[in-house]
Amino acid sequence: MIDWARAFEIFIIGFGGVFLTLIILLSGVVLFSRIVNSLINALTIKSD
Amino acid sequence: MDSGIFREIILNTGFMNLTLGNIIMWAIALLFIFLAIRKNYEPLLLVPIGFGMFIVNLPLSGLMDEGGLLWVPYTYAIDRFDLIPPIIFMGIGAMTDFRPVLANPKTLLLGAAAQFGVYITFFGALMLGFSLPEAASIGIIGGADGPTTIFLTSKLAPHLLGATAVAAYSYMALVPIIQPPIMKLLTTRAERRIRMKSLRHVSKLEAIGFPLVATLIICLLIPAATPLVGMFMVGNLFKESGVVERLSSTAQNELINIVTIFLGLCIGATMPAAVFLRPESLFIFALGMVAFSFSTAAGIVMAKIMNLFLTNKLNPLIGAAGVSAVPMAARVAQIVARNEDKGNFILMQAMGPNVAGVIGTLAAAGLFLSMLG
Repeated sequence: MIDWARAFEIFIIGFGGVFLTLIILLSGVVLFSRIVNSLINALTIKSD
Repeated sequence: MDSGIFREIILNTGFMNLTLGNIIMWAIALLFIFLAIRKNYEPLLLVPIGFGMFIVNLPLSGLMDEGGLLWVPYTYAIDRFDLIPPIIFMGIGAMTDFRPVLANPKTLLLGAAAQFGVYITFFGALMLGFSLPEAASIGIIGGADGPTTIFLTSKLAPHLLGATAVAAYSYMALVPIIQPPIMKLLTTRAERRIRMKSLRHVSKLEAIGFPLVATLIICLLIPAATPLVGMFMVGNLFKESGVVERLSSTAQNELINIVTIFLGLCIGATMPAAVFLRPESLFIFALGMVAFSFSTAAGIVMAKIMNLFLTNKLNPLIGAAGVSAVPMAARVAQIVARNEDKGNFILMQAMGPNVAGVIGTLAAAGLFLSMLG
């Protein structure tokens, strides 16, 4: 007997969780890149 | 000579214990070896898998009996402690370049969308009578990631390990055959001819920081994915840091080669005739195909949806690279794009969703483990 309620729960949490994880990773990567590039730019300007 | 002893020797030969199932498995094993050697289909895996399958079906070989030659690495490095898949991921990490993702992080969404096939197949497997843990192990084939499939199956449904691993590696090898018709079906000629902007330069500091940031975020969100994500990212840190060349070289050469030998032989050895020659194996292969096709389609559809909101349009073909067969799926996207426009180069852009697909599959596996493990 298939527990469809549990299966749908796994689908929602699973697929939703994958998207959520990668969206948070996307935001983290964008933020991280901005910080790093700002730092590099600031250091380059300072050294010039 | 005593005729009783002679009779006993004869009865204890493999010939006297052969079954039709053994012979069928030899034929399947030889097919894998043939495809690997002749067609170059994932030879690094299919040669040892084929040979493992061949020798385990030699009657009375005892290779997978308790204490047997392949039982020991299988039991301790795959079944009980799951060592081999994370070590393979360390090697893959040392060979992976995350710069395309860093240059165009939006492509992470394509890697997420391409996991759709995993969940469609999960439902398909349930309808065919598989249990929830078995369905999850079959669904993950859609991620087109062999080590992740092995990692998840060995934890959730070890009795399906041979069939799911072989299906995952077979479909990875068949990417150039399976994906192009789906890509052409779901895109117009004009879409396939879209030229994408060149990727921006990614600094060394960004490349070094990415494995740390990604590990932090993914492993805090999905702790069950830590063994695979952690090893994947440490391998990448070896490569990007530039100061541990020997470790990076070992991870992507000697270490991954050694564990691949044992992985392939052990996976092959999990397929004695009595276990493999059952309708379930055919269902798993059929479901693997469904998983792979839906994952490809979902990546393309996601790219088309994103294009509704983007000024710099994506070539939807790169969505198909969201399945994590690296770098084959990205190469296929490039080939299909070039068939429409000889001057169109989307390989580097397709590598973004390709490595994002690996991360997406790891996340999907981690979530399955959290819920069903």
